Amino acid sequence: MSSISEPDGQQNSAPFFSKQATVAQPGFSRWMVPPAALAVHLCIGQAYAFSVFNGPLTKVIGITQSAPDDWSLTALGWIFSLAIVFLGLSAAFAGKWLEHVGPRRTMFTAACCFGGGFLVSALGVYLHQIVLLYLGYGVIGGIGLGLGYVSPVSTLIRWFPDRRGMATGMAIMGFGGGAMIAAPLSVALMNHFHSATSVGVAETFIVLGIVYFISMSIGALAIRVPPADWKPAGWTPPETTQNRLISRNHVHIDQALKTPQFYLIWLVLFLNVTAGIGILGQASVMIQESFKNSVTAAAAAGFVGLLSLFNMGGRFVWASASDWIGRKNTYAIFFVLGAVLYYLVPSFAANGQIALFVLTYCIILSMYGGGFSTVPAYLADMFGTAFVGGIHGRLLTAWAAAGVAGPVLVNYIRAYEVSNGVAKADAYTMTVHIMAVLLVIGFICNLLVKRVDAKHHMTDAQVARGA
Amino acid sequence: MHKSPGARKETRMSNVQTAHPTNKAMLAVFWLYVMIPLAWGVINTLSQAMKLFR
Repeated sequence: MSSISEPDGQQNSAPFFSKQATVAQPGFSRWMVPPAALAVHLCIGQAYAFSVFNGPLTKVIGITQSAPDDWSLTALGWIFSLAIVFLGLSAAFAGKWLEHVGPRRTMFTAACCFGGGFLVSALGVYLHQIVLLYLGYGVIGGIGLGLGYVSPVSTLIRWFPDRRGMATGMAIMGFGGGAMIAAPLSVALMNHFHSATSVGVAETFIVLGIVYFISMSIGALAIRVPPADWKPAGWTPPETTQNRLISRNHVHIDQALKTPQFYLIWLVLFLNVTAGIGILGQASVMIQESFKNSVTAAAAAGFVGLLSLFNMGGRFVWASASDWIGRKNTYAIFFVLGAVLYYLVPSFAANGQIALFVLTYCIILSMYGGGFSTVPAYLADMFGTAFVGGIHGRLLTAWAAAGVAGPVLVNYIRAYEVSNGVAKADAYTMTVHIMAVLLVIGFICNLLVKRVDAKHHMTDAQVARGA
Repeated sequence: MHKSPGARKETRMSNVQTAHPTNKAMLAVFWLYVMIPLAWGVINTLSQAMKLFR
């Protein structure tokens, strides 16, 4: 267990929420940091489970069934979309700020925004003003999502320079697992608060807002950053010649955007996410249509659950594996194996091989999750750790873009196929073949990633003053 | 201002005394705090996923 063993020679009297106050004291174990990161990511991962509120929110007035003045599913769909948009925007634009103020203030701000967003949304349900839900969960909560996603990840990278992938995998696994806690918890709370006059959503929002605020605040209080030049006991940074893609230098956020590497990794993430996200959204319908009369709705829900587990597990397993095989090789596996599996999966459906069909999608979804968790370590390798949080934040715009492109590709191609007389069971063939092509393009982009040119590196003096 | 070797030793001793090694019990509790809800969520999802094989 690595801990701070060298005294830093000064008393820490900085304001509690300042970056200086979070610098770890001698004796601090770095293994305190992953649970602090998980405390935040397990909360914000709730976003993936927001759909459990959609049904009850369409019956806020009618209670047992939708009344004419009740909200439509279309109107409610904007809440989640806004949250994802503001996740991307806040992560992209708050990058410099979060590097400047440090993880504690950023994570506490995230706790205030995410918890506060639920409370504003509860008021919106109580007053039946959907604008308050857009503002609460969509805008304020979305900002909490973005700040809470990026900040713990960049802190973990600094604590685990020897196992960057494993560290980021742990935190981002929490984001995948958050929905697994939130969905049954939210349903249980809504059932508890349901009455003749309330569907129980406002009360559930209040409880969740308070619980998430407390849990995320605990993570913010526990987080620490390592002292400058700290490294794990007995670990020496790899020589550049040993692994040409792991840099010892740092690149500023603004400078990173001037490198081709940033845009190539942006495409790598975008293509990997696009190939998985559309399938995730359509998984239930897809398996029922591909195996008509043999897969029930309940079994299809089980399939979705299985995909969620592989999505979560892949975040830890693949990111940890990338510490051994390298980030570039990990993405090469995602793209090659993914393209082959997408190419094969229609034949499994056509031949009724349901076990192979399920296994194939489980592997694909594990690589979808692995793409999210491996990318922060990839960025740290390429651009150094000084501004990795801000650079990661800007790269997350690829996630937002893929969130639109993936479902649009899957839904529109399927609709086009069905309108042209293709049987529903066969309608996904062209879609998955296009996904395979996207992954081949991703493979080429990944192949083109080279070491960042030395002209973009910061000097030691610039790193020291955070310029 | 340069400190004498004796003063430097004293300062170092003082700093060593202010070191706060992480309490292992607290570390275990903190891990349980995040892993118990996660395990609960995973078990719930797994039981739902089992419907696929029934």
